Order: sequence, then structure tokens, then C-alpha cells
Amino acid sequence: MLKSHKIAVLNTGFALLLVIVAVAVGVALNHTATSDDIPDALRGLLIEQPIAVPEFNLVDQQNLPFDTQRLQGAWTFMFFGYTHCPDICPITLTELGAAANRLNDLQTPQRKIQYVFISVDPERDTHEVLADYVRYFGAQFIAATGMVSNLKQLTEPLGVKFERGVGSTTEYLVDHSSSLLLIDPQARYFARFRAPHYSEEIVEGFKQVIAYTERQ
Amino acid sequence: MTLNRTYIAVFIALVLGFLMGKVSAHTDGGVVVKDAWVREAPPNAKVLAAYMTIENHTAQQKVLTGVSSSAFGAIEIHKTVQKDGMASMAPQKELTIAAENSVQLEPGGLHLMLFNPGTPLKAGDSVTFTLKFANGGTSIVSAKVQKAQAGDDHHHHSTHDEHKTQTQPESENSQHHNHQH
Repeated sequence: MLKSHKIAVLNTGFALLLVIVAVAVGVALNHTATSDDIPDALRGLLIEQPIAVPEFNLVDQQNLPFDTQRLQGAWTFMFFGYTHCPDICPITLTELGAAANRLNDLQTPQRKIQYVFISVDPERDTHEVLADYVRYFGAQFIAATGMVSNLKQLTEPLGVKFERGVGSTTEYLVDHSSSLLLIDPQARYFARFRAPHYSEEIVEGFKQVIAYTERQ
Repeated sequence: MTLNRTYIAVFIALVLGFLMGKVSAHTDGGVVVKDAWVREAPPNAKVLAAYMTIENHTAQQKVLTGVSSSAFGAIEIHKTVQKDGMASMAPQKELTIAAENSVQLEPGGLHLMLFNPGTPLKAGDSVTFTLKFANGGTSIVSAKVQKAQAGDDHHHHSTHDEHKTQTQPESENSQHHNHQH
């Protein structure tokens, strides 16, 4: 009698513990779901539901494959443009290059950062052209491109657009998304900086993003 | 005494030369072009951009219809337009500068698109442009090639004295020689 009473008390205690744990887990899950703890500075920067970057196959400036694998294990800043773009592309690459210099201190073996310029003008931007072009903006830059169909495997799921605009067969313009994408080390499209781009905003935004993710 | 005078004369000549050099170009047509510069680009770049402020000090509007330079294969007037997250360049057939007004060609906005440079241009090089206006007038502009640093391209972040004066067109031609730099 006494023994069974003891068991009953233990059972009640265990059940109570289960309830507490369940409530705690529920609260925690609910908390992240409503994302109440996203700092104000990150609102408008974070993608609400990070998008897994789909499989894609491009070629970098050294003629090496640039694919989804290359996004694993590093934070990636990604900007889309083309070398026959004299204004917005060099402006952005200059700002991003300056941001990269300032973010150098934040790089650790656990927290790598890479900077990628994707050309949406593969007809004129061969890997040789891209190599010479991005070197000017800093040794840290990776440049990549591929056939339009290969480019679209990457851009369409991420909502990045590009379209060949007015011009002749050799001199033409290309319209392109001006956002700077930030891809997380799990190859998920995680945050977006909208143009115009400022190096200070890129640096501060990135610091906020890593503070936020490393707190999770 | 004569020697002193010579020194003074040389000094005045140097000061005048310096001041005149600061004003990019003068024309008799009442058009003044200031702060003209070409963005240094990677050595293999096939297109570059030039920026400047064009002031019209006359009572009539001026219409810029074309720009030429022996340093480039072709030059067009373009405007970078940001719409719905997309950047595109809109070629402009001409550019109207209203009477007693000015137009700024600046990073992220209006610019001259410079096609096919004859030789790669480096910071410090000079380029001469001929601006053609609808009334038949022309304006010769000398522009320095500059390497843009981060922050240069945004006016509210700009620390360059040269860029600060752009937003205040002056109404008196005589003020240009007093231009503070």
C-alpha cells in the first residue's frame, strides 16, 4: 500500500515534469516561429524563411566548378551584374570590397566569409574577362558565370532577375537585380541588402546577422 | 627689388594657374562644367562612366545632344534606374538643363557611358570631352580619371570637398574663380 502510494507520487512527479518540459519546448518553438526576438536592425534584412540554394553549376574565374558545394561552410555575399556595367556594378563592388576589408577581423576557421560576383552576361564575360575584372576590386573576390539556363537554376528560386535589354548584338545592356544576397554556411539564402549599398551598412548588417545566428 | 617682383609675378601666375585648373572648363555660351571625373575601371573594362555637373548660366534652356572624345569609341548619356529591386540603364537621347539651373551626372544616376577606351585609363590620366548642345554650341571639358573609394559614390557619405560644392549651383560666373577647395 505504502509502496504503491510511493509509485503513484513518483508517477505524478514524472508526469508533472513531462508537462513542464513540453510547455517549455512549446514556448521555445513558438518563440522562434513568431520570431519575436529578431532585433529591429535585422528586420527587412533577414529572409523570413531562409531558402535552400538549389543545385546549380557555374564556372569560376579560374575555370573551376562553382556550385552549391562551394557555398557550404562559409558565409557568402553574392552580387549579380556584368562587366559592361559602368556605374552600379563598380559602385557595389567597391563598397563590398571595402566591407570585406573591414570584415577580415571577423573571419575565423569556423566563420569563413566569401564574396562572389555572378555575371549574368556569359556571352561577353568569359572566365578570363571575369578574372581580370574582379581582381581590380580585391583579391578576395570570386567571380562566376555559366550558360543562361545554368544561371537561372540559381537565380529563379532566389527571386533574382536578369534580362538582356536594349542594344545591338555586341553592345547591349543587361537589367539585373541590384540586391546583395547573403547566403549562410548551410547554403541557405539568409539575408538581403537592398541597393544602394554602403560598406558600413554591409559590415553592421553582417555583424547583426552573425550575432543573431550564433545566439540561436 | 626686381627679383622680388619677379617672385611675386611667378607666385601670382602659379595661384591663377592653380585656380583656373580647379575649374574644369569654361565656355562663352554660359555653360560651366564642374567636377568632371572618369571612374577608373579594371584594365580590361570595355565601358567606363564619367560624371560631372553641368551648369547653365543663361536665361534659355540648354539641351545636351551628344558627347564625344578621342579616348573612346562612342559615348552615350545614360541613367541608372532602380525599380522593384532591378537596376537598369536608360539611354537618354538628350539632356535638358533648364535656364539658370544645373544637372548633376553622379554615381548611381545620370552618367556618360564611355564605350571602348582606346587605351586602358589609370587614375591621374586626363580625358577631354566635347559636349555638343542643340544650339550648335560646344563645351570642351577636361576630366581626371579617379579611383573611387567606398563612400565616394554616396553624397550623404561623401568626404570629398570636390563633391560637396556640386549641389549649390552658383548664379554668378565671377564666383567660379573664388571656388573654395
